Amino acid sequence: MGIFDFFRKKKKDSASVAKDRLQIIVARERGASSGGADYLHELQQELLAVVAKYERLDLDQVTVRVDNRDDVDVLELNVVLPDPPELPAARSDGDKKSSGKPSPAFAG
Amino acid sequence: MTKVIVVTSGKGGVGKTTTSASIAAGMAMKDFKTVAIDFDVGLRNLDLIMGCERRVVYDLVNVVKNEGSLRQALIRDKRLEKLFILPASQTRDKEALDLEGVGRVIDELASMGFDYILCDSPAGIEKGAQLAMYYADEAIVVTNPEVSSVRDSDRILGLLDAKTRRAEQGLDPIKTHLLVSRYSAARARAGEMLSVDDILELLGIPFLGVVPESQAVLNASNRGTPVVMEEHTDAGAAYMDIVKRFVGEEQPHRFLVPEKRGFFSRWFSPSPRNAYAG
Repeated sequence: MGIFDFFRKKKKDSASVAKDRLQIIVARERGASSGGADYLHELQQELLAVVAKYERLDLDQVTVRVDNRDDVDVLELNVVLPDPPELPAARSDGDKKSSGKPSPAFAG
Repeated sequence: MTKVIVVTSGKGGVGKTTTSASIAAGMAMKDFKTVAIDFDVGLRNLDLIMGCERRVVYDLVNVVKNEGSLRQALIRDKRLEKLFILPASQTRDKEALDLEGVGRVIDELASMGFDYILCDSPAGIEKGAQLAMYYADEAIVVTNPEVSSVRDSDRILGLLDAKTRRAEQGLDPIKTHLLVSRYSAARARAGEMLSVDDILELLGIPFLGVVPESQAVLNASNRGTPVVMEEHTDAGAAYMDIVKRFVGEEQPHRFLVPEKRGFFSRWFSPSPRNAYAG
């Protein structure tokens, strides 16, 4: 089983994608009804706009989620940068970033 | 003391009526006097699932509108002495019900000595669903391990917190319970289905149990038998566990890990009970 797991890890399984999507939507809808953290969607849009200034990217490739770990809320921003196929040479300094790894942003 | 329980979900087709029928029947099997009320006016189905559709004369709308008495409308189950059903009307619409009328029906049922009143909610978040949940003391939220169902359940939890008698009168909030139906432990392990842990983390309410995806559910509904009465089946056993847990008996969770069937069990153990031990 281990060896299959190794190959499968490359693609996120659909259940964890579902969970990530739901975390965003549930947080947004709860916020909308209780007046809490309803800035999440706006935040996502603004962050996206900032990143888009420097990188061409896909809206689907940005996820924002809030986790409760112990008694701190952790806001996690995850941007998957596209592979750099025909980027001009001037941008090549950005190549290292385009790994698609999660990049935790800040906690609060 | 009568307890009013709403079985709700927001989304349609997740198993509310199946769950209402089985929990009501299971409670009657545990010797509690129980009535299941179908709130799905216009699309009544609880009578069909419980196998008493040919005995419906008066219904909930008749009682609310004083066109018939509660005793005329209540149908006693032929198999379980302590089980009753109050059917919905098939010809009216949900506007035919009102808060005050439903309150009267519930008070009268309480005065008849029922231990549990189960309200089978219609799908949606409109008037019918809100009427079904309004007088509840506890709620069983039925969720499928699937994105739209989880989202709708979260929405319903918001309504339970805000649009019910307990919320409006500042009483203790409704006690909520999560029931995950149509679950496949094997698919959850393979990462193809939200796991119970995922759903619990997302919704954050106490866990009542899972009902595995099972052919027994369709078989039982074909015959008009609440699946809980077929305790040798996996879904039947799961519902009985859930009923026991609900009434306060210690009952370990099952069906959360995929069945491990070795050569011998595959050939020599046809009982799903053994197969699903976990």
